[in-house]
Amino acid sequence: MSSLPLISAAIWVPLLGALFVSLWPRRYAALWGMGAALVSATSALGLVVAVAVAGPRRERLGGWGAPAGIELWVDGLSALMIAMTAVVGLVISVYAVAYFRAADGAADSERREIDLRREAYFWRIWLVVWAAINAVFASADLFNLYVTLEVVGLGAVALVALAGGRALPAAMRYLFVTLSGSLLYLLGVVLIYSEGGTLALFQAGEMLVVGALSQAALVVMVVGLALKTALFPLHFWLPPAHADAPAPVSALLSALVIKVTFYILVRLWVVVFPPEVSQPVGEILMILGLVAVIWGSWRALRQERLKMLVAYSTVAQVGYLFLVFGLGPRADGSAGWQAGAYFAISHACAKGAMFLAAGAIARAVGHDQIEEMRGVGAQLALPFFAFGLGGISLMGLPPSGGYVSKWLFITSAAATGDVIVVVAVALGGLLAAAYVFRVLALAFERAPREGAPPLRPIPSTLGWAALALGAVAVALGLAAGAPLALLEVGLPFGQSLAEGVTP
Amino acid sequence: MKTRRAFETGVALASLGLGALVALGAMRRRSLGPAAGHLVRDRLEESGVSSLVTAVLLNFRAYDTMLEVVVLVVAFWGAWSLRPMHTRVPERETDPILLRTVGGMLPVLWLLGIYLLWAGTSRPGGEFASGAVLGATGVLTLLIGERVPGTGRRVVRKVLVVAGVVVFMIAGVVGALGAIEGHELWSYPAEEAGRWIVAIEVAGAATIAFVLIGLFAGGRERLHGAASVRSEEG
Repeated sequence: MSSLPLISAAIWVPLLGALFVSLWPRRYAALWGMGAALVSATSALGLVVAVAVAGPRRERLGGWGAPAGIELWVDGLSALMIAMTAVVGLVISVYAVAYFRAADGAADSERREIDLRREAYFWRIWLVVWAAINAVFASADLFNLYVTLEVVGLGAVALVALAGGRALPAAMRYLFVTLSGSLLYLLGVVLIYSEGGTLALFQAGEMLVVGALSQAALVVMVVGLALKTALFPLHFWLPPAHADAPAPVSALLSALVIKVTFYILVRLWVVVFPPEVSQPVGEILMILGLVAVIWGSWRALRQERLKMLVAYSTVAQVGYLFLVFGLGPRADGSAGWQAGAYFAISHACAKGAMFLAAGAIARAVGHDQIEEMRGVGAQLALPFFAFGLGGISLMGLPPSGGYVSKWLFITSAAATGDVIVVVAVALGGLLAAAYVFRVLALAFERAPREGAPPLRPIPSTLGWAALALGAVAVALGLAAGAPLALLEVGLPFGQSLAEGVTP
Repeated sequence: MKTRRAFETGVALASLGLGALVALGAMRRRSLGPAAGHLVRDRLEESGVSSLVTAVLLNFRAYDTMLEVVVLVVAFWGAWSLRPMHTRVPERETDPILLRTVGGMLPVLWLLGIYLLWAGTSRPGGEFASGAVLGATGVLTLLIGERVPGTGRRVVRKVLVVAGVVVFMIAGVVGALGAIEGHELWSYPAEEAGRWIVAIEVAGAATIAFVLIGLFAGGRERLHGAASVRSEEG
């Protein structure tokens, strides 16, 4: 039983699904795509359950073992990330069926042709990206991480470009950014390999010693991965790319794709680099993270387009993620790291919900100018409610996943005496409240809309899918025990929390 | 304009800094020579081929190689998803010199590509080298206004794009089922490995070559060069 290749299955099922979808005529893309998404989520959850029940899993591809071959390794952290991808990915898939279907109401045949092609290519590329995201989380090999990162990056760029129009320059810039980011990472891999003679994550960690080479390797890898994760001030590419993509793509980029590079950084910190090398860089990342929280929230507050607001909010939330590189190594037990991982999964659900809701609202209103959404809330209660639920998690209000992760952040920061982190986390929450309520207050104004065109009808699936993700974001606050327990499997951070896991 | 200049200067300075840092790090390398080369050489007999590079690409690290083919497939889909973009490519008469020289060379080039594939089992070559040469040959074919055989049909194109990955996956699963103990993917015994590697290479070279041609053609379905497009219009 334990010899079943569950890890490979979690990667191969969506990949095979993508190839399969590509072989069928276009009009079946959504049907087979949704089927493939269901099977992919099931196989991923199978892996997660197996890890939760029986502990971490390892696969030696080709039967070679670490130095010559490639190993896959799934512990609690990887399993949690794969579960996040499965849940968010499944909801995005349901949304995408309705989203792309709704677009083919157009009568004109050329327009219809474009819509059909967009739908067909969305499904196959999205399934490949899903497979590659799982492949990153399961990989225990530095070079393999680079290859999977390339698949994720190229696929993400292609998905942004599907929107056409003004998304094309954004996609082009995103392409350059994502390629330079991976190349910088590869440069670091080359340096590590030249010293240790191995590409396996855990072996490289044992070989590396403190010195100029490991310092250089760490810095180039951090710059490359921080660029791809959009850490301030390297976030310049993110808002247009995330805001101008089709709505399901925006959601999966913000929810999942930026977590991939964050996850690799966490692994580098915990497994590969000696603390003497990573500590000073971690301090800098923490400071940049603090600036990002304030700057991103401030910019979000001043946006005129709803999707731009949500995208800038991602810039702010990325800031929280980077706090862990300063806090994690310092805090007692693994509280700091757990805060980061929990923040990653709750942000994935919350931000996914908000982008899906924003897409539904924009489709109904016909544009996404916030000022002109005055009073539309009553007719669009479902998506606005989902937007609000996501917002609750971003603000860190109880009971929500955001609340639990911020609580973990604050306790670990308070334990190490980082008062400034406590202040920034609180201030970021207030700013998030400001930009979420700004939208909600405007939308639920009683004043009648004058001279505005009537709302277009939208499929109710769009609203319900957004609401489902928002509900998961809230549920992560009510039932924090299970995810946090999963996170402890195999002790990914080297040590356990002493006590008091849940708030 | 000013912010653009500032941005470009910033990027230049950051690149210089990172480059200097990498150079500094590389100078401090403790040892020279390929670090894991001996590992591969020791186990070459178990891999089923006699070429070091092929053994690494298609047996020891087959998973990486499969994902690299996936990278190409994603790039192809990404480019073809943009198809109805009406960008005008400046067209001109096909160069007579190109026509004469390439026309005669094409059969030789196709043959060379196939030879590289066969050579891969024992010396430098293999699916990537062969696919690149075949792809370049296809691009030349398009440039002189001829069709690449077979690619005019949608079914053929669809199968060509996925073949390289699908055969890889089949080999992985069969290897897992045939392994005596454990069920690790691609873990076939040495005597069977050779056959599977050839199968993977043939399919992989076809996919790589077709993706390169398709990327050059940039989504024009009939996959033919400028000359025949004009003749159809005219």
